Amino acid sequence: MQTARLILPTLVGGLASTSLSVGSALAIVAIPSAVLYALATRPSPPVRV
Amino acid sequence: MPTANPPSQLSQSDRRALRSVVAQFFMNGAISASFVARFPEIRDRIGVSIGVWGLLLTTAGVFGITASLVAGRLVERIGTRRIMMLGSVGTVGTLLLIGAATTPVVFVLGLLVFGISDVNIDIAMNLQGSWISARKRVPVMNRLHGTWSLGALVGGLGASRAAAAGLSLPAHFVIVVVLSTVILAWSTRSLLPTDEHGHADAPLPGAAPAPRSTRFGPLTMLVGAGMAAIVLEMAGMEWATFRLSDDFFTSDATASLGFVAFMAGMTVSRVSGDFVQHRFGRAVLHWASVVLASVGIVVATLVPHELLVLAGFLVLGSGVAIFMPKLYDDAA
Repeated sequence: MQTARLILPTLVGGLASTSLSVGSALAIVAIPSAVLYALATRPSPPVRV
Repeated sequence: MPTANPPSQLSQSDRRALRSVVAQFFMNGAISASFVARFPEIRDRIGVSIGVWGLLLTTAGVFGITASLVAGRLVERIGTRRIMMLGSVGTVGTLLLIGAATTPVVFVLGLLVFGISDVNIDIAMNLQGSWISARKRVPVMNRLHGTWSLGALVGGLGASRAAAAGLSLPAHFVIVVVLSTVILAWSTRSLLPTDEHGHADAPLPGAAPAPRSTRFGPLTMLVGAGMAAIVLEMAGMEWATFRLSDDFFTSDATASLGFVAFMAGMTVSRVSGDFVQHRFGRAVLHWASVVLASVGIVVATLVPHELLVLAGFLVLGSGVAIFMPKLYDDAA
């Protein structure tokens, strides 16, 4: 889990050093993270027996 | 009507110890925030591009994660109180190094020593907090973490004021070092003198035992959610200032308000989280936090207006604040 601490600065710094703005670089990395969190923590549907 | 396990009265020494742990949480947040909120200025001072800055943070992160692997044993061997005393010397001292850094090497060295000290303090103060919480039979951990956020908010506001007043990084950090030294020298004297557990890696009071077998699916989901939560937290804490300074060319004082906005949202949420959960239920709190974080990150990163960006980071902070505590609960 802690590897996320290494991924974010490398990716955002790398993307922002191209022609992208910091906002766009953050959006590329962080918006999918919000989606991932929502999907990973959604309650499981009831199991039909 | 009799109540089961009523909250017990703490002894006078335990009350003093709790106040000391509160002070440690507060100062830990304030010291970190003092330099994180001024990251763009530090980047300019050491003269690196945003890409190299990202690599410097990653380098420090590698050492920090490595240090965290042995931190539990170190805390066990040295003791929580002495770890907090020694660690505080480390965090406060390296603040001077970070403030004086004019080269990437010195900055990373400072960040490295800060990270090692911080991770050890983090374990030690959480252990002392949980022991006192168990004695009191009233949970205090949420409040302690709220205190950390409050300290970070105050530290961030101080950084913003310092930047607005044109105070140089070394001058600002010397003031923080003096204040921190006085407060921590007072507070560490009353910490719990002896540790309760022989093993620092022992589960905290109230924690469920580790499962004997791991369920791959739920565990993978938990790890994925944890990584996502950390990314969103770091987006607000470490990059909000750059979003304002580099995309809107704001002043250093305004840029540091990005961090302040994020921490303000986080503090309010952590302080009110227990009430909201009690009033509306766990599911409502969870989905509200997901919606707030999602809306916040979209607005903060994509809307081309600096006031709305600040509002976005505020909303992001209020949503993300609940993420990690929820995951700890789920893991338990």
